[in-house]
Amino acid sequence: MRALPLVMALVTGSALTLGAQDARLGQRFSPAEASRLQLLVDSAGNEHLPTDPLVLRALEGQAKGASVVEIVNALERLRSALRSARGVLGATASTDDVTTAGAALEVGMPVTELQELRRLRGKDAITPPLNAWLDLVARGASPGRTWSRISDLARQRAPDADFSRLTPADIGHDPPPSRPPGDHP
Amino acid sequence: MTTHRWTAILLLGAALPLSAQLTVTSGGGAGHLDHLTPSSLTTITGTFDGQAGPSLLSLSGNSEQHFGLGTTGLASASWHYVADHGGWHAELGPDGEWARDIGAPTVGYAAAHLLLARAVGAFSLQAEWESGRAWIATGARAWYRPTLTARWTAGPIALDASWQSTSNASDSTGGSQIIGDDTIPERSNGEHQVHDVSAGLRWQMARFAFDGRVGQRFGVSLAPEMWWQGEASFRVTPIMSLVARSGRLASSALLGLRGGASTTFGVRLDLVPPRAVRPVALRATEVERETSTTIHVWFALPANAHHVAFRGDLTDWKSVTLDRSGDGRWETLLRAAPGVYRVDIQVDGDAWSPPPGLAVADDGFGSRVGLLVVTP
Repeated sequence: MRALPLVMALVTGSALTLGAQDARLGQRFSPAEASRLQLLVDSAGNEHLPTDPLVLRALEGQAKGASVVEIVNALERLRSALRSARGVLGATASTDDVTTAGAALEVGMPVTELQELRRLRGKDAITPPLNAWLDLVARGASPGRTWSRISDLARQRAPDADFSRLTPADIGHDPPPSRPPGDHP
Repeated sequence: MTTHRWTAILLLGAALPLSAQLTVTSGGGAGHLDHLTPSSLTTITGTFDGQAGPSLLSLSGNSEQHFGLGTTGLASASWHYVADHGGWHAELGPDGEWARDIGAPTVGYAAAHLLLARAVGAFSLQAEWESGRAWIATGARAWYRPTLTARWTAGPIALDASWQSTSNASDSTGGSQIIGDDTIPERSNGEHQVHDVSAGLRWQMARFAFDGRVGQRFGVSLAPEMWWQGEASFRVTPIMSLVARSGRLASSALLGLRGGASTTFGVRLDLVPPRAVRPVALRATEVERETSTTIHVWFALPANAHHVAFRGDLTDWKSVTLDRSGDGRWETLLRAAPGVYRVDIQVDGDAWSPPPGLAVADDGFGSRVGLLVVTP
């Protein structure tokens, strides 16, 4: 009977270990591949990086017929972008902020602009301005002009709704008044 | 149907504000046209598809130079009015084709074309009716041609089965040859009729694509004849692809162009990328929050799209089929919190690609991916 608690602990521990693997990886990859990818995901988690983007990137690679080596490489690049985002935003940044900042960095936002945005937003979340930047650039606005507009709004402590209200027309025809003409990229 | 054609492309892209596709393919190989000696050949093919509002303009043609024999050519044009409503797709408009076989006069036809299609999930059924007048060696003749096609699409693979019948009108004005191919015998009622049943496979994976079709021709007092054609292409750059094409085609029942076998290798240039939707008042991709946990997404795509699939971070990269909305766009409801999501769409079994109007990023797997921004 004395052995029962030990057996229970072992069984429970095994179950927890098995349960720690993301079910989506187990469904789409062979056990060996899933374990290899899970190690990468876990290591990102140990760095306090968001892990769901890594799992989704692995699923994307599988859907696109990529080899496990290609998927591992893609995950390592993403982990690097998330690590950069975490480095800029700090240990207390939310998962949303780090994930969105990682996406912005992947698309080409300079790290210096991310640092500036962090500074301008203070303790406020940077997801709203980053989402606006990504959305406007997606709609064809100049990244440089977009950054000028976003950073000005952030500097003015504008509410989040002001970021989501921006349109490419605002960017293209209404340059920030706080800067002299010709100072825009 | 001959594989030897000539192309004249009209550069009307600038006049079509919504979407356009222009390709030119050039290559060389060997061919063996019916009743002629085998020869080496060079070929050039061009296609243009442009859509402005509900108008769909298609121009295509090709030319083949058979060394020692001569040149064959074919040009076709159609202008269809396109309408989509409640999952139905319809096209109506004129089309025509002009061709010249080796040692034969120019022939052609003009017709009215009606197309009706309905997609349900991965399946679609399409019915077409063409009727018009053909100007062939024996004079002008009336004709009609119904076609039925059933299609099934699953990821990168699309399969279809088709039946087509070509006939002269029953009140023929006489003559021993009504439709163009003089090897097709006359029926007891004076009609000439030929049927083609065929099956097609399209497979597209990353840069590689295969398009193949095999069919059987039959008719009253007509010995069954099998025909086939396959084309494989590999995209080297976004605008250039290597293309290998081989086939053994039957004659053109309507215009009488001789059939034959040929194999060619060449290069295709996508001078205007396919389905390049230009900026319009309506955003190409629209997102609207439905509830606190779900969003409604619309994609504005060319009206000739029949089946559209979506996959991405929001679906754990599983493919989901989109529905046709009342305004002709493609829509779906998805669970999504505010954030940035990587997504792809697939139109009619073509390669997965970023939806129009989204930021595009290198996906890290040798392709590109769209970034869908979902706001609160």
